[in-house]
Formats: sequence, C-alpha cells, structure tokens
Amino acid sequence: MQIARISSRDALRRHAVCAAFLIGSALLSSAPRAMQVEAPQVERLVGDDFDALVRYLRPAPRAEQDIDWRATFGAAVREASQRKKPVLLWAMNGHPLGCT
Amino acid sequence: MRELVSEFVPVADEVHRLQKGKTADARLFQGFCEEGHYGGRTKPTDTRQGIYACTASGRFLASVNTRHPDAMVRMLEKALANFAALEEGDRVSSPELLEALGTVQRAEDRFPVDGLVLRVASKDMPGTKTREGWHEAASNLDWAWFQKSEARDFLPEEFEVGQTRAVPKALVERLVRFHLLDNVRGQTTPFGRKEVRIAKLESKIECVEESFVDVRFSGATLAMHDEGPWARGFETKLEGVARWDRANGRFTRFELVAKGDRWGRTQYNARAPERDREALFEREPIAVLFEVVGGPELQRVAPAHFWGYGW
Repeated sequence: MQIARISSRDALRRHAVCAAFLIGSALLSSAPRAMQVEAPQVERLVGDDFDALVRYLRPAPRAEQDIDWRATFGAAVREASQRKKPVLLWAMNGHPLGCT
Repeated sequence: MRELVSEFVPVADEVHRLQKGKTADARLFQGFCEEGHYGGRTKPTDTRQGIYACTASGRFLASVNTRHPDAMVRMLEKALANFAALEEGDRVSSPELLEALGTVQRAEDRFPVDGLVLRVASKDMPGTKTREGWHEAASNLDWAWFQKSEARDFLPEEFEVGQTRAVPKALVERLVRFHLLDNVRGQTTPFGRKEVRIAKLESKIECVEESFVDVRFSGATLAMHDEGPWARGFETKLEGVARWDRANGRFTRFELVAKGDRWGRTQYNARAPERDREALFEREPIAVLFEVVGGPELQRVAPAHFWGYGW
C-alpha cells in the first residue's frame, strides 16, 4: 500500500444512506447533497492508493451537521429551562451522531 | 426548517437508555414518550425512537418519526404552538428537576478536551458479495477517545527521523476490541480481551520540523470469537499517517486505515442469516478509517463501547 505525503485533500465524499441521515435530511431538507462517487470509479480507486481509500471511507457531510446538536438530553433540558425554549430531541437506537 | 429548529434547543441522544434507565433524564423522557407516535407500541419492537418536542418541565409538545420534511415541519409548528399556549411555569424545569439532572453522569462528560478524538468510519469494500438494496451504500460511524497522555503514546519518544515505537498494547487492544468491529449494517458487540489474537501498531517518524512531526503507522490486527451463534472474526492490516503539532501537543492530522476481512455475524449487524452457513463464514472485505475531524463534523458523542475503556 502506498501512502502519499501529507498534502491537501480532495473534498470528494461519498453519500451515506442510513436512518440517521434520512431523519437529519428531513430536518434540513434544503441542505446540499454530497457528491456521489460512482461505483465503477470506486472499484478503480480503492486498490492500494491510500488517499483514495481514505476518500472512499470518509463519510459525506451530513445535513444534520448544520444543527448544533447537544449530545445529552439532560444538558439540553437544563439549557432549555434557562433559555425558556422547548427541547427538540432526536432519539434513536444508538446515538444518532455516533454508532446506530 | 432551519428557522423553526432555531426556536428549540436541539439534542440528539440514544433512546434505549432514556427508555429503560432510572436516572432523572430517563424518567423525564419516560414521562412523555408514551404520548408520542409510538405510545403503547410493543410490536415489532417497543422502541420509542423518533423526534420529540417537549418542555424543560417534561411536558409533551409533539413528536414524529418520519423521513419526510413536510411532516417534520408540521410537527415543529405544532410543538411551537403548544409551547406558546403554556404558562411560563410549565415551560421551565423545577428546581428539584434541575438538581436531579445535574447529578446524572454521562460518558459524554468524560470527553477528552485536550486528548485525541477520532471519528471511526466503517464500510464494506468493493468485492463484498452480499450488497443489495440499502446494503450497497451502508456505512457506520463511531468515536474513539484517547486521553492526552495516551495520544502522545502514538509517537516515538525521541523526535528524530527514523525513530520507531510500538504503540502500547493496551491502546491497540482497545482499538481492536471496541472499534475494529463489523458495524457497517448495524450495531454489534465488542470482542473480549482473550479474543484479540493480534494487536500490533508501530509508528515511525518520517519528518521533523520545528513546529510539527510527521509519522507513518503500520500494523496488523486479528480478533476472533470462535463459538456459538455469533462466531465471527475481523482481520486487518493497518496503515496511516499523522502530523503532531509540537507547540500544542496534539495531532492536527491522523488518518489510520484498517483494511482486511470480516466473517460471521452478531445479532443485529445484518450479515448472512444463520441458515446460510457457507456464506456466513466466507471472508468479505471491509475497511475502517480513524480520522481527526474538526468544526461541525466533530461531535461530543461517546464511543459506543465506552464502558469498556475503563476510564
């Protein structure tokens, strides 16, 4: 496997389909979709080229990243009480911003 | 949609703990989730996952579990209308609730602010045979945490080109047990300590400058669970690069790829069914990327198997 010297990287990212992403998309329907890597191109890229392999594995920017999600419900409730706002809770089996 | 969301304090959290736990935040959730879209449901599962709006006092406002933006907008608007109709006292937490919430201990409280946080992305490699439907593009995320002293342990002690270091066994075993897992299609269980057969990672200094040090990683891993319905294995070669910021004592780049094979399955990771024994134990290609990220990509979410870290 060849490893390239540290250098600037492409922004090419792969679109990931999962429930968390879909719900995030529903929350931010106007967010731009990530560029999609065509399957044949992937087959060609992910041989022994380290940078290409990283690009293949790196998740696409997710729509829900535009929201400043707090990571724990309790902390959000305390903040909401202080700011006199309602809480919007996105709850899933597995943390929605982690392993689902 | 963004304007609507800005009227809330948004939070993402794991539902199982909230649904089954006994802590103050879990009891608060249990107090209103039955008024939501899955209230009373037991089949096909009793999960209460979805999007909920509530007050800081625990009053239900609205909920939905949808992929459709229009339905989400309707839910948010309904929640805000219900919130506006409440007396101020019903919108905030009681002093007792605030005190109880302050005692809840979460793994996220251990976020290593001055350590190393890696996003862990797993994906099937081209060549995987059973990729149909949503499996074709399946991937998953997790987070790997390292304390400040542990982060430094990824580097040779002396900053000279050519210096090498075997990364401490405990750190590599942690990667193997809790992060080199087949969770591409769904949550899975970690490997036991005795199931780690190979856990080697070496760093070698490639470049030394006044402000930074570049290193290259190489290594190998193998973990196997040999018996029972969840017999499985995960074998990889490790390759990677990283840049250490000498002034700030932290990695500004860290890309470590584990590329290899997986076989077998666990209860929820959606691999070959038990009846297809031949396919079940056929090796298929998989890879995992450990990477430093920043900005909005960085989340303070604890590793899925944080309990195993022993912190």
